Order: sequence, then C-alpha cells, then structure tokens
Amino acid sequence: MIAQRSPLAAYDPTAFWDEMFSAPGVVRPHYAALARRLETLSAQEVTRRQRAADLSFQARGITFAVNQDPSGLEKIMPFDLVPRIILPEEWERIERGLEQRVRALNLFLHDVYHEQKILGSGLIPPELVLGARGYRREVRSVEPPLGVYTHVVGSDLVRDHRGEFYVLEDNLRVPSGVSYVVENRRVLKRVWPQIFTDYPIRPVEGYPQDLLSVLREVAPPIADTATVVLLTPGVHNSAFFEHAFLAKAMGIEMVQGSDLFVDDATVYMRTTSGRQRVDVIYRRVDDDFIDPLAFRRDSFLGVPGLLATYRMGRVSLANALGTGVADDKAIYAYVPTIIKFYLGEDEIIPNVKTYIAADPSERTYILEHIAELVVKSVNASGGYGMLIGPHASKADREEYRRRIEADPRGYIAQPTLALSRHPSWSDGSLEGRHVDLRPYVLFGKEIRVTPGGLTRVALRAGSLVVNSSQGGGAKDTWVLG
Amino acid sequence: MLCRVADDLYWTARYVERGIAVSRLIDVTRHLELDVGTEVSDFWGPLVGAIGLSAEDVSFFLLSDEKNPDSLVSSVRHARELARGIRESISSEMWEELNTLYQSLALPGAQRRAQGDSLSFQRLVRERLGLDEDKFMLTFQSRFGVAEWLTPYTAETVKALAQRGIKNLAVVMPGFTADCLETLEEIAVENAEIFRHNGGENFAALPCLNDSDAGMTVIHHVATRELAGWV
Repeated sequence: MIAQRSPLAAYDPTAFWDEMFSAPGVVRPHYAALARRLETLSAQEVTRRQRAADLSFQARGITFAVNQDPSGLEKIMPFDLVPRIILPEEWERIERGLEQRVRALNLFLHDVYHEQKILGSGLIPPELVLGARGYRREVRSVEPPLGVYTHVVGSDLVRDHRGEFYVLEDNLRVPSGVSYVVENRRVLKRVWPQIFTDYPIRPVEGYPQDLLSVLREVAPPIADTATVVLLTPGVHNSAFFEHAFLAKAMGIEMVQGSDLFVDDATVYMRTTSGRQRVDVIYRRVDDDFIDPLAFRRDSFLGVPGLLATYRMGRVSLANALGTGVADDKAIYAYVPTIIKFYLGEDEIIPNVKTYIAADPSERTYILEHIAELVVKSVNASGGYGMLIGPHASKADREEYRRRIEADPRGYIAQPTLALSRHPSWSDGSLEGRHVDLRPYVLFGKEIRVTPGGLTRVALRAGSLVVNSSQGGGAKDTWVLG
Repeated sequence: MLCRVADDLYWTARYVERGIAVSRLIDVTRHLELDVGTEVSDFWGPLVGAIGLSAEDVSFFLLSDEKNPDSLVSSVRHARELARGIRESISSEMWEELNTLYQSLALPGAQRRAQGDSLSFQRLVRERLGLDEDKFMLTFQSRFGVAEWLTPYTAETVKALAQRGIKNLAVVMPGFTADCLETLEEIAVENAEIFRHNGGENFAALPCLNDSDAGMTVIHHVATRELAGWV
C-alpha cells in the first residue's frame, strides 16, 4: 500500500494512538490523500518548504518573547508542515462538548458571584471555591452583560491510547494562541498549496470578525455604538504579536494601560483629537494587574479606577473579572459535577482523573504515587510549575513532595497520559510526536466554536510538554466540512 | 489616533531618517575614495576628526556599533522596536520592510548565512567546470549596511586582476535569476571600465537565466510548480 523507501514506509506508530496510522503501514482513510502527497516529497523539498515557512514567520514578525531569556530575542514558534486532520463527526462531538462545558462554567461563575447555590449543595467544598486565588470578592453581585463571563475560552484537549478525547484544562482568563491558528493556515497555504486541493477544509480566518461581534454584543446597554479596544501589556508580553494581529484584523485600537484613564465613571482613551469614550475592553492583562487601585499596586499595566467603573456597568471587560476561579485546576476536577448541577446533563467530553492535594486521602495517594503522576500547580500555566513524575529526577520529586505538604491547596495531580501522536518532520524523516488540541470558543449572544484550533506538538522525542515556552511547535489543524 | 501611536510614528520616522543620514555619509565618502583609486587620499579625515577614531574604526562605529546609539544598526533597531509597538496602526508592508531590514543587519549570523550560501554556490561551480580558485573567484557587490560587508569587493578585485596582467574576464551574477538593470550598469559598464582602464582587454558580463531558452524553461518550471493549486 505504501511504496518502499517513502518517508511513510519507515514510520512506526508504536503503541500510542496515532492520528494518521491505525497500524504500521496502514493509513487512516481521511489521511490517505495527504499520505500520497507526502510520498512524492523528497527530503530536500521538505527542507525547502520548511525554510520558506520559517522565513515567512520571521519576516512578518510572528514571534514570541521567551520568559527568562536574557538575550531578549524573539523566537518563531517551530511550525510542522504535516497538518492534523479532524473528521466532521469527531469535530461535531468536540463542538457540542465544549459548548456544554462553557455554558455550565458561565452558570457556575454567575452563581458563585451571586446566589452561591452550588456552595450550599454540598457537592463542592465552599472553601475550595471561595479560597481559590482566582476568586474575586470585588465582583460579587456585579452583573456582566448577557450574564457572560468567559467571552473567549481555549480548552486543551488530549487523546488517550484509545483515541478518546479528554479535556486536560480550561483556559478561562486570557487564553492565547489563536493568532497561530489563522497564521499557520495562511503560511501552509503559501508554502504547500497543493495539499489544499484534496480536502474540503473549514476556514478559520473568520475568527477576528466573530470575536468583534461578540465584543459588540456585550457592550454596556448605555452605549449606542460601542467603541471596542484591545488592552495589551505591551511589547514585552510573550503574546504581543497576537494582540497586534487581532487589533489589526478587527480594526480596533490596541491600547496600553497608560493610553486609558477614568473620569466621571467613564473610561476614555487619549487620542490626538482629545479623549474618546471606551465601552468594551478586550483585555489581555491579567486580573492582578488591571487596576492598581484594586489589585496589585505595583502594576503599571492597568488603569486606575477601572474596577469601580466596571462595577457600575459603564464599561465591559472580556473576559470578565474573576473567571480564574473556574480554571483553577482543583475546581477543574469538579467540572463534571458543575455540568450536572446546572444543566442536568452528563459531560460529553470527559475530564482527566484528577487528585486534589487539599483532600487528605487524595493527598496521601499523590505522595505515595508521585513517580507515576503529573503534578501541577493550580494557578500556573504555560507548562511552568509542573512535575512529570515518570520523567523527573528523584530530587525534583522530593522537591514537589515538600511543596505539596507545605501548600496542599496549591497542587493537583493527574495520571501521566499516553498522549496521542502525529507524524511530524524531524531531520528529514517522519516521526511520531505527542500532540494536543486547543480549540477556541467564543461566547456572546450565542456560543461559537472556531472550526480548527491550535495543535501543539512536543517536538522533542518522547516529550509530553507541548507549550511553546518549553520547546513545543505547532501544526495547521483541519476540520473537514 | 492614540497619542502614543502618533508619538511612536514620529520617532519611527526620525530613526529611519537618522539611519539614512549615516549611511549616506559612508556612501559618499566611499564613492569619493573609489574614484580617486590608489592615490593617497584623506576623505575620511573630516569624519575621523569629528568622531575621534581611527579611519578603520569609523565605518564600524557609524554602521554597526551597537553601543553607538546613532549608528545605522542602532537607528534601525530603534525604528523597528517602535514600529513593532504600533504595528496594528501601520501598513503590514512598512512593518515587514523594517523588520527584515533589522534582521538582515542585526541578527547574529545574518552575514555568515549570506556568505555560506554564496560559498556553496562557488564550490559547486568550480567542481562542475574544473576551475581552481585562481580562475574562478567569488566577490561581493552589495556594500550597503554593515561596515565590513562581505569581502572581497568586486570593484577592487577587478582592478587588481587587471593590474596583475589578466586580459580576459567574465563575470556571472548568481544572485539574480533575471538581469537586473542596476547590477548590469554596475558590472557591465562600471566594472568593465575599471577593468579596461587598468590594462584589461576583454570583459564579459554573462547574462542571467532569462537570456536563454533553457533558462526560461527552468523559470517556467519553478513558477508552475509553486503556483500549482492556485492557477
């Protein structure tokens, strides 16, 4: 079925779930056309196209700054030419599952900042919710427009060895990465247009317009024509490219904290023709830094007085303040309970089994099995603050043991997953690399899931960490229509 | 427009202007120097005097010294940093232009990469034609940008060869797939004159791929391959 000596013949899908192969030499049907294209491609040809792609990212400055890198140089995210293909029926289930999840999480957020029915139900320990670092007493009783808290969500999905999708974590604060969904598609079209003729691929480039619609939909009722801006922490933020990309694509101003001020319970921006009222802020600045009068006083990134104006309903923030409580990794463990409680439904996409160190018996289990588990800090992201038990040194495991005992509420643990793999180019041959999938969900008047998403690849052989800050790359992700 | 954006736009332009002014100083002085040829000249004198460095240092200081806030490299870096902060407000083309200029000047290895490509071309041609290094040599034409751009320079090499008694010289310009008027003027006119003026006799500037049917077939093939799926 596969020609000898083609890059595919030597490929070993191993025991993991492989997105492209069902067995050695047997390509899944929806990958057949792509496989034929891959077979005709020489190593030089791959290198040439790879170089063209890298050059394109570099020239257009599609780069991210790496935290803690003293040279301050921006890097491009490594891009793998082999796209990931998702079948319509797989996608349909992902779409329904995410919609259900996002709906339930927003009902949960509304509840914990208003009636707090779930806290009285005994289904979830109140101290876990009210004691979460992301819980903001400051927004108790504040009614966000349409009751929506999370206008943009990026949930991380993974597949196990049977190909079953799980939600690994929800990103409900300021999820990033969506610009790569659009740009990866654009670059792949540029450097390898031939493969697009074989498949009916659903477009992703409508995302910025959809986002703009959502932002307009949640404008305060006082605004007749809403002025929407994007608030960025500035050029030193690792996602700065994305902020500029989205602002430009939406045709709105990209502002920094110092461009805004509050006067008479109204937010204004400083323009060359005087002050201009701002109604909706798509903010890419964390809660902690958004208003030095309310949160961290040492923040130069925020706008003094913003919280007070927000509480009066005279400016909308997307995402709303206080969403961090729902993507706390200990609360994550209760999402199936949350779905059942608010919607009366079973979850469509299951959670990964999670042990909460705050619970004494689960803590004992974690400490005893630390060598098999992945331990995560409940508030960290970006692949920081985690321990992969089976790959960690003895000293690192001891270190995490101490940390967990000192601050049990700060940690959770999950079984080490056998993440699915996808063929990726590595030094001229195709090799299996672990992948995840981050689709993006928009929520205004309705919920929209962008058909596609960011497939992140752990490019180091055997690595399970896909974060770009930790040497991960990305693939274009096709949802078939 | 935001006040900050207006301010940064203004300074982006100022830094680009400063870069142009610095490169013009160097450009004018180099041209004067080349016109005079071997005669001892002191065109660098005024610049050296103004800066207080030796003549060798002066072009480095003005072009690529990152510690000099007014050097070409620093000006381009400032302009590019500012443009990055306001890239949503300027055209993509303006941003890409500044970004690629910055990368070609400032990123470590940019020069070496350019040289690496040319050197492997040179090696391949030598092997194919069976020529040694005396018969087939590589020189660099473009001298914009960094002080010590890649050497040896074309004009100086052509002159030296003629003075050494070489009578026949052919020049090929592998950087171009199709003939470039500016380069033709520099090679086929200026350098031909330098060659003859210094005792050379036959000078040929070899045309690029567009001049032959076989070359056009190559271009046609590449274009069709790259446009597959589009047209």
